[in-house]
Amino acid sequence: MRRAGRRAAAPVLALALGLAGAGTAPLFAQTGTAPARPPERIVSINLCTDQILLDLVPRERIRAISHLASDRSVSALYDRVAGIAATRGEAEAVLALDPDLVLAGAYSTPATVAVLERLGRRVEKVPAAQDIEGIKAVVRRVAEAVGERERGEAVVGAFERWLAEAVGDTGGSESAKRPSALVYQVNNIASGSGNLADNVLAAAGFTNHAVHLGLGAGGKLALESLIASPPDLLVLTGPVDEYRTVTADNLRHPALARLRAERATVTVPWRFWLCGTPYVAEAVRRLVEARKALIERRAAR
Amino acid sequence: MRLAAQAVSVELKGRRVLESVSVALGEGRITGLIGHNGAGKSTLLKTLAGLLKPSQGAVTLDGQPLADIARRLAGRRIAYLPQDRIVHWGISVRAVAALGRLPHGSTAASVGAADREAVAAALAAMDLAAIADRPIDQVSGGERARALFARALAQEAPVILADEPTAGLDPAHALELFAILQKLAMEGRTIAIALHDLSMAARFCHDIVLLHSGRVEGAGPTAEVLSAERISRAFSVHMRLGQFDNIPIVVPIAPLRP
Amino acid sequence: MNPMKLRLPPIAALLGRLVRREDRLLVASLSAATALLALVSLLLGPGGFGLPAASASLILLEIRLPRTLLCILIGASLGLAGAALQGYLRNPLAEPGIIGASSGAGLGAVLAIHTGLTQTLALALPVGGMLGALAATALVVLLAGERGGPLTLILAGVAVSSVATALLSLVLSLAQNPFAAVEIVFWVLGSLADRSLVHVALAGPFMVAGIALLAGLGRSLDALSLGEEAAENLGVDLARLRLQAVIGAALAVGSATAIAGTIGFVGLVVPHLLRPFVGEEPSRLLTVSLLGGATLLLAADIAVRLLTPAGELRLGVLTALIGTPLFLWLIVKARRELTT
Repeated sequence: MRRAGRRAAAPVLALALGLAGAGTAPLFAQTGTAPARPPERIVSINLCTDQILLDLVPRERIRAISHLASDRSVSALYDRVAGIAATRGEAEAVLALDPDLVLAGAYSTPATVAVLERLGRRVEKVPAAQDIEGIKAVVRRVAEAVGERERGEAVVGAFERWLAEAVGDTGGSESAKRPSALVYQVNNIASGSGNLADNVLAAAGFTNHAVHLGLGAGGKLALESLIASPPDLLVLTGPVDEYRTVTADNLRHPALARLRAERATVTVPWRFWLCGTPYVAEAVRRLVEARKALIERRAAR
Repeated sequence: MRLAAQAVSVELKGRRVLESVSVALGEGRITGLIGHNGAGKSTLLKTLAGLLKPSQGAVTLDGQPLADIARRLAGRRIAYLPQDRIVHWGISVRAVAALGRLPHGSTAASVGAADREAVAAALAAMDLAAIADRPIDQVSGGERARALFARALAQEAPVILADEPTAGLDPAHALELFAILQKLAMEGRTIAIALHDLSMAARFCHDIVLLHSGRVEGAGPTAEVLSAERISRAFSVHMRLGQFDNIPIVVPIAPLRP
Repeated sequence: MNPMKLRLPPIAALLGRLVRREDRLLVASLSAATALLALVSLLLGPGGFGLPAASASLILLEIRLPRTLLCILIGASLGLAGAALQGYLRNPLAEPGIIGASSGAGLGAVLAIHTGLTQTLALALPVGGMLGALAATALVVLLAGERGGPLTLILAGVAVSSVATALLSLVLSLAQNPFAAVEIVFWVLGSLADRSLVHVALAGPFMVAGIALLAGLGRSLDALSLGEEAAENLGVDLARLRLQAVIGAALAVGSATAIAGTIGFVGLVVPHLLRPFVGEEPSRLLTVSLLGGATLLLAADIAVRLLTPAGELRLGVLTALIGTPLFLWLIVKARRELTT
């Protein structure tokens, strides 16, 4: 039974909102930078922290999130951010919001972050999660920073359940031969090993075909190489005419169309697994479904 | 073929360069165009060649308006040699001469027997056979002038209009060129040349057209037009005419006081 | 023969007549080189030489063949356009890149893509490129003209080129394209990676038309060696010559650039290298430059695929690496001429 990504997000959100009703402000003693009161004027200037933040605190405590959060192609929560102010993350704009906490990515514009810190603002630089455990750690870290440790645990718990549900009963598939998958994107970029996409593939029960092709950490893959040695499952991250640019011509190449017609392909929108958030569970779910279909097709032959 | 200009006026960049000029170039005759710098000699030649459109009057070829004749056909009738000796690329002397065959339909790739003969004859006439394969940017100024004239010869056109063809030629080659012109005239061709050397003009030209500030000061047989007082006035230089072994010479003595 | 009719050289049957005896060896050699390199191009894959391990017919037909065909067509277009422009402008530095035709074409193509026109009409892509190239070439011819010396031409070309590239960047940044940074590299440095038969069909006919127009300029360009006045006397229609040269170049270079981005230096290097072999005669240079361009671009593309099989290295980088030594040599030659 297929479930829309939206509805799959509901359990997590409901949980978050449910706990919001508790309304207490627990004290933290762990980190030295923890405030006496939880921050009320949070600004997030990173797409990934945007999405984690939205499930941890009520809207009233969010001054602004990044402008990318409303972009359907990259944000899993694009349709739930209406009404929240958006910022492009320039220091001056952020300062004008008078935040008591700024959430930034580890690689957010260093200049902006430096300015904010120099002016005495509290900036939490949250690294991007590269695997399942990393996602849990990041959720907990942000929860800590915003003073919602308990809710953070709830979110992590919901994530674990969601993931388990997505993977379903694949008992025995660990011993069976795992099919291969390859994530193929604009500009001939294929996702390599060691990053989030790779770990999502693994969680869904696939091997990363990029490793077989010798791509290492990922990078450009010649279309011909892909055609000559295709994966069991080709994973695209969006509709092929999503981007009106020459660099996306590789997705529209007739040879790739032929490949897609002959082999298993699945489209898992990039917004689910671009960022290390609990929403990767949706990506895992879709990949697992594709794997089941693949196995059924093989069995039918 | 008779080439004539009838009351032709020509304007260049808003300035009137030729004013109601009438000349008639006769068959079998060499006409010399003389006049001070800027008198309009080059402009008249270009107009006669059909390269400039007169604002008034018309140029006719054997009575037919030149403007009505198709461009390529005109190239077979009139060979025009500009004053500046431009050749943009280092093509061979032979190739320069061969360009004269373009109005006859030849191209660099396909050269007919008639073309080859015409080019060979032109090169021989201009004494260029020895350096025919040398690039044009590696020959002397005089050799370049002769190569360009060879192009006009190769066109085998009944009318030849040349702007200062002997400038820069040493006396031997200048005399050779005039000898060729005389031979061509005897064959019945119509020849007009602009030149500064009045002695050569007196010696070799059948007719003279004397231009002064865009107007014709005199036109007719050389003996009639070339009088000392007329050319002295036209050039603002005291000129003396004389003879040397029956060869006419014109000597500029001194500028006339205004 | 009616001089007003455009002269399009008949194909095939008159090949023997089109090529002078002295040039036959050179033409044959270049043709053989083109054929050989085309074969190499068809046999070269990311894994090395040889037929593809799997899906051979799909790969050969849909990936390697279009790439090879485009190398030939685009190389021929650029080589011929360079020779024709140099002959027309009587300037050995003229070439589609320097005079801004390529940048103009890029701008036209980018506008066609990012206004969404190409999604409604695929032909909008090569047409955009051609219109851009036409505008740029016409502008440079207007600014520098045939009377302008090398300096004026380069200045006009730099001006037009810079403006076109700047506007191209502007369009890309306004398009809110997350891949704008990568895309501009494509337009500025060119690439033939992952071009398909669709691209061949889109741009091919226009390139052929442009080549046909340019190839018919031979005798006019020869006559032009003696200057405009003598050329007119020899039967050249200067106005029609200008039209044919500019439109021919715009068709060929514009459609080529719309498909493959800017590929510079081919139109400069090929005629320069081959000019001494054809006695510097412009008409003879046209034919050999067409073949020489195809050969050069095939060789450059093969080199690119050998160096970075996945396609990181851009074609334009390689052609620039070839072109720069030539420029240096030109500078040395010019300095030597000044001091002697």
